[in-house]
Amino acid sequence: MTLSQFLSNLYALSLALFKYNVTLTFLAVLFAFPIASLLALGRLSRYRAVRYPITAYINIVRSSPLLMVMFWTYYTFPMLLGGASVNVFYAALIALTAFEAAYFAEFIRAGLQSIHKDQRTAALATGLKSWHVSLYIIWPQAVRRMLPSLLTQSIIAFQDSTLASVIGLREVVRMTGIINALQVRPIWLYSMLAGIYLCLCFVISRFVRRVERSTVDLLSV
Amino acid sequence: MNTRVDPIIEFKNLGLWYGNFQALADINETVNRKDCVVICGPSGSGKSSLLRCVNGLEKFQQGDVMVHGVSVKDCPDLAKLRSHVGMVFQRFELYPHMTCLSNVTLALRKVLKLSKAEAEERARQVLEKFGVMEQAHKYPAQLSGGQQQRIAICRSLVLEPDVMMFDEPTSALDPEMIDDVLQVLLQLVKEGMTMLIVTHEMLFARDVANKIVFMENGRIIDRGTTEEFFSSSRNPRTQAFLDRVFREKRAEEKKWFR
Repeated sequence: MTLSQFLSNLYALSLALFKYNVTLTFLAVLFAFPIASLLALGRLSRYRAVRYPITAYINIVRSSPLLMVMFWTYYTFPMLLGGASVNVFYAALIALTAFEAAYFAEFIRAGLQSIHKDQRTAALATGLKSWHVSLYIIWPQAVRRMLPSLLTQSIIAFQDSTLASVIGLREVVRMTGIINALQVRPIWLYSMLAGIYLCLCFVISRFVRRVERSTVDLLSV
Repeated sequence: MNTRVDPIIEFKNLGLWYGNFQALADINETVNRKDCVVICGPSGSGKSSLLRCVNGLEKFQQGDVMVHGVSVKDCPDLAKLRSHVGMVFQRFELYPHMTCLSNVTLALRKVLKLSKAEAEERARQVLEKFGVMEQAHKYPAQLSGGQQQRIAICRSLVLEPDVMMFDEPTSALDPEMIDDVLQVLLQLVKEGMTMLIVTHEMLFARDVANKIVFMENGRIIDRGTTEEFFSSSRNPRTQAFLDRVFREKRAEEKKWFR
């Protein structure tokens, strides 16, 4: 592989990575967090009519492979809805969001439950309204506790975004396959893919560790 | 006007159940302005639950509690009522993600809707008075237990409540910190604050309280002025409890001389 070929391949792969994998992961995580917050609250609800279906959703999704969820959003649901055709990017986005929301929901639930209930009692006792207590006392503490898990899960989501190649999204893995079909240099190309992923994930995980450390200090009580 | 008979808290035939378990039964008692009432009794006797009924943190099923003439059962604005009733906890329950100053100003800003400057000014006065102003910009985890409890007391006091309730305020403290916090309570009593204290510190109760209530199994089984309670209570359960408490105290003191 010549240098110019290497660079143009690197460019093509990076472009695919940022255009699809990064965007997909970013949007999925962005949408998944508020959805997961609602799911977590629903899972903690005292009403069975809310708690049961949400718990069922979380458990079903968490015991499904992401690939299957992608097939569902791309093939099965559109077919059930009368054969509508779905943009492959949106299908992947919906699948990844729905999938990560279920995982996030469990982290958020655990984070909320880890805050001692007397924190709420103490805050209520000063005359704060219940939603003020959630906003100023419970959530800020809970988010700090769950942040490392959420960020780690986001890295996994970034890696999992490559599964969208199977339903036909031209993200980085599929792009590697396409270039390989033209150039037939699998060792080079798949090593480049691995290198790119390794570098990015390493940088992100460093960042996660830093966040982890700065929040642990504060909440060592 | 005789302020001694101004009732701040009245328990009227109060009853509380957790499922089938009756946690409080037939509680009748009055706390008047400037009273310092100590509630004692073995653990699990309902002392903490009783305090939590006063500011509606516990939903009781029978009877009522009146706070300054307002029924807790029918109170339309419990948040407002709670801001007039201070409460201090065994494990302080400061907000660990906020500085001590923010701990103290939060309710001022969100409940009383004071500006940041006004709230901080009021907080400063209270923190200075209790000797914890130097800790204002630290986080709770950086303080000793005694300092944390003082901050927690400031957090309640800054709202200028009509009554302060303490739920075993010294039980989670190291021995050398206990006196520290008891001194603060004593100071409050001297200033005429109305107090309702759950504690096992019977020596403190004997010296500071003017009324003692003894609870067991969710009922008040003995009560009286402090003098009556300690010197002439005929109740065999009270006698047994006091004997045990003072024997433990003596045993504790003895241990050091062995």
